[in-house]
Amino acid sequence: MTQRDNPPSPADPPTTSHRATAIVWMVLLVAGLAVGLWSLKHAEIKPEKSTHDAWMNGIAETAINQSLRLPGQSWIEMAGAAARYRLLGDLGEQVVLGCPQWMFYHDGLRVQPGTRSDVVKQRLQLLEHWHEQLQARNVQTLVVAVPDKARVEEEYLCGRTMTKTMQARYDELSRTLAERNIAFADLRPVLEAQPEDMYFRTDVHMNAAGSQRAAEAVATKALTLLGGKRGTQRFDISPPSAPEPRMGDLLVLSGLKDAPTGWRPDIESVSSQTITPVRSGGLLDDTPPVQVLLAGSSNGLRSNFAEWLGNDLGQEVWNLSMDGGQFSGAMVKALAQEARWPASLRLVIWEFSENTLSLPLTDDEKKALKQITAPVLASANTQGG
Amino acid sequence: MLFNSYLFLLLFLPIALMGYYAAGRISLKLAALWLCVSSFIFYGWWNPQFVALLSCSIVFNYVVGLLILHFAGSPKKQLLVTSVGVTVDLVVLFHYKYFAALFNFLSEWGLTHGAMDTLILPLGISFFTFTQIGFLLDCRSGLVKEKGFLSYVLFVTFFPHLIAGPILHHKEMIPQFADPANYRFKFENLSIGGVLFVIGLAKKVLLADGIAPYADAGFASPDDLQFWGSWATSLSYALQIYFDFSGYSDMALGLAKMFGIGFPLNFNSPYKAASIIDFWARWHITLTRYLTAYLYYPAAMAISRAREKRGMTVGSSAAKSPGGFAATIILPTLFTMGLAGVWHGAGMQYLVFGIWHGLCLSINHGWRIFVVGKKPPAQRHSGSMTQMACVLITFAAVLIGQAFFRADGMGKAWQLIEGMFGMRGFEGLESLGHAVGLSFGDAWRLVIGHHLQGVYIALLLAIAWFTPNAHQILGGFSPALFKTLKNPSQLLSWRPSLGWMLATLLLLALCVANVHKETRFLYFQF
Repeated sequence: MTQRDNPPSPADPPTTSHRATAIVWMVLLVAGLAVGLWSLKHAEIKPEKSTHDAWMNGIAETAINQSLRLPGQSWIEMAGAAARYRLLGDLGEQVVLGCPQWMFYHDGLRVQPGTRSDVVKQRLQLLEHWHEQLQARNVQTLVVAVPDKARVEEEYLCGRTMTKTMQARYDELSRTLAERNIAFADLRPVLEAQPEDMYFRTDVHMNAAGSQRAAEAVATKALTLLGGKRGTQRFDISPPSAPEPRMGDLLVLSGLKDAPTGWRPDIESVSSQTITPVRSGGLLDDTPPVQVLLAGSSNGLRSNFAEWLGNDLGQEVWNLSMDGGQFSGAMVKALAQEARWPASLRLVIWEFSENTLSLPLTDDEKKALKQITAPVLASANTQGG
Repeated sequence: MLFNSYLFLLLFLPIALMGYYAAGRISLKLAALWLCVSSFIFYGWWNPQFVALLSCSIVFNYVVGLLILHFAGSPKKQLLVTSVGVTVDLVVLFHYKYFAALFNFLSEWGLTHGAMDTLILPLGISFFTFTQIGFLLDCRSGLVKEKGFLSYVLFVTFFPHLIAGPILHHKEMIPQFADPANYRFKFENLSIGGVLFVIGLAKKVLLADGIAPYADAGFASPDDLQFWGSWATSLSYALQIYFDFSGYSDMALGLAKMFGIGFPLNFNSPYKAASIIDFWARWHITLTRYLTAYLYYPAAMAISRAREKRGMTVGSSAAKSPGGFAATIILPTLFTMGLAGVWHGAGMQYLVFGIWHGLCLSINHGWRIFVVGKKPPAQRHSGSMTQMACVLITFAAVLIGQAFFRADGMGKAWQLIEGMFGMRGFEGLESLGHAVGLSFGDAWRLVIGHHLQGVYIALLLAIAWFTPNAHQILGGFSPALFKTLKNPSQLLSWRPSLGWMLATLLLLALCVANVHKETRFLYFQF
């Protein structure tokens, strides 16, 4: 064991020297307590996080922990993020800087830490299961995986690379779907190696050009599944507006939303466009029965993807896309209301971002997997309940 | 509750500390009771249901301890009660920590059916179980004199050590809790405890949490890593776990000091060790001490007794022959380190980690006995270059062990080691070419941003290797029960002065600005 090699120095300062230091600590502790109590008083805890059960299993305690903030906390966080970007080119844990001004989502480049290696296999299992469920009610499935920005805009990575594991997963998806005979729109050839940018510079999503190309490719594939006949619905497409500043989601994610110019990548200027179905008007102006449901991720809500898709199909699309839906959020939501689907529905377009294949399973996905892997048990539980 | 959370810093600590000294002015028992209640709240904040488990464990072990003391004149009964107590403790630990893993392992081999979800591991169960097993063994050895229940509860639950150590001995803590002087407020306790706590907090929040994402990302997919990536991952984890755990230990010692209590030192610059024996004398010192006292010595004694019965040599003379060395050194070392490995968790990789260190320790002992021991004493001193080589070899051995310790299974550990040996090729420095022609700011951000992991590693290694540790900085003020090595730096010698106060406040401000992430300590999972 280590020896006591440095006994207290005989020249240790008297206790009076400690007094000043200790008084500073005491003042800090009292000030901290005042701030803590103030923060606790203003904490907003959701009612579901303050139930008896929540107190017993630690959820309420965690919620209280997370609700405590220092005065000026947002500014402190923003200042820290801005300094890290400006001085170190660091955009935090979730975002990485490629070439100057180009931001990428970290989970698109490498496997998210803490994720089990069998998540892709499990998701393919879910995909097959839900495809069969749709088939049973004569609804076809078209799977659309939007390639990651890092794959398509590779030239802006400036030396960063997408790992081999991540690179291989799109192929694995494509191969598995082909083996299972599930329709799939591979968007890689559509978006890669284009002369213009297909994605926003400070956002994970496709820009207007990318979205339009992707929608066109998906519509072509969808039309083959619908018998090749385009619908008759016409759409009004407005001319692009003058470019306006657009806050990219990667700027928000890296905490740089409110950072001053020069202390964050520049905000993009983007033109917008509206695509609206043309109504004939009048009392009996019924819209055609819906045939296509888009169960998509946030891609389905950006850059007019769903609208371009409707335009290319010649019919309006029932868009159930959702922000934060990851791989299957919208699909789970759509299946939950399956009983209310119109009888005219013939095709579900299931769209997700490539990188969501590699994220940890959501609670809904775990639940669905359990039902697949233990159907007898699940059915017994359902009957029992 | 985490030390690195606003809840702890802004609410729990001020209230616990003020309440403690206020209660101490009224009655010592009231102060001890206040500290016990505070500690239970600290523990239960994570999951109140496990407070019941902790309480039952304390009551059970206290009663068993009393019974052992009661049967002091009857060794057989004492042995029986001790065995029952230790067995029950180990069964509970096994239930939470290993049962599901073992069940699933047997299931994979077709010996059981179905699969079990891993149970939620009660925080600190390994630590409070081992602390109390030590207490029972000390009761049997006649080392326990103080029988007060409140003192015992405080010894087990005192919040600075409850969840991740240091692992304490009853005999070094109870006299402190019994000393009325420790319940009186002293400026020096707050002054010294505060600065040590801030150093520990900085190690965790600024250093360990800064490098952690790189280690996590690398271990998530080691087969994607080539030579530099594998080394960077390995080094990142080595630095993360060191600054995380030693940061926790410094915070624990600092907090204990604020309450007037001294804890034993748990880290003493382990990466400066020039041999693996030296490493274990510096890394998680209280665990090494525990394993030595309760596993290694009993195993070595049992072997020696068996050899003695057969008329064979024992002690240092036995270790001079290959057979005797294997029996008296290698066997107890592998036994102890194998169990030490498994103590960290269920999984083959933990066993391999332990056995690897056992082998390294055995080789180190063999080198000392058969190579260095045969040299004349005058030739045993090595030069500074040799010392540096020894430090690097020791560090490399530690990195290999940590690959198994951290990886999610044997396969991933091997993948990392393969990468470290260059078996998946070498990366280029592509990003440097992209910086050509850019403005200075953009070029700097591109180059530094793409190699930030390397910068962090260099900085943290420099801190670990070339700066004095927290207790060396505190020197004679360090509250550790046994002290660290002498501080070679005059500049980094702490004194309660204005300059040090300002430096500490700056460090604290940086920590507080980053505390909101509230990352858990690595050793909470063990």
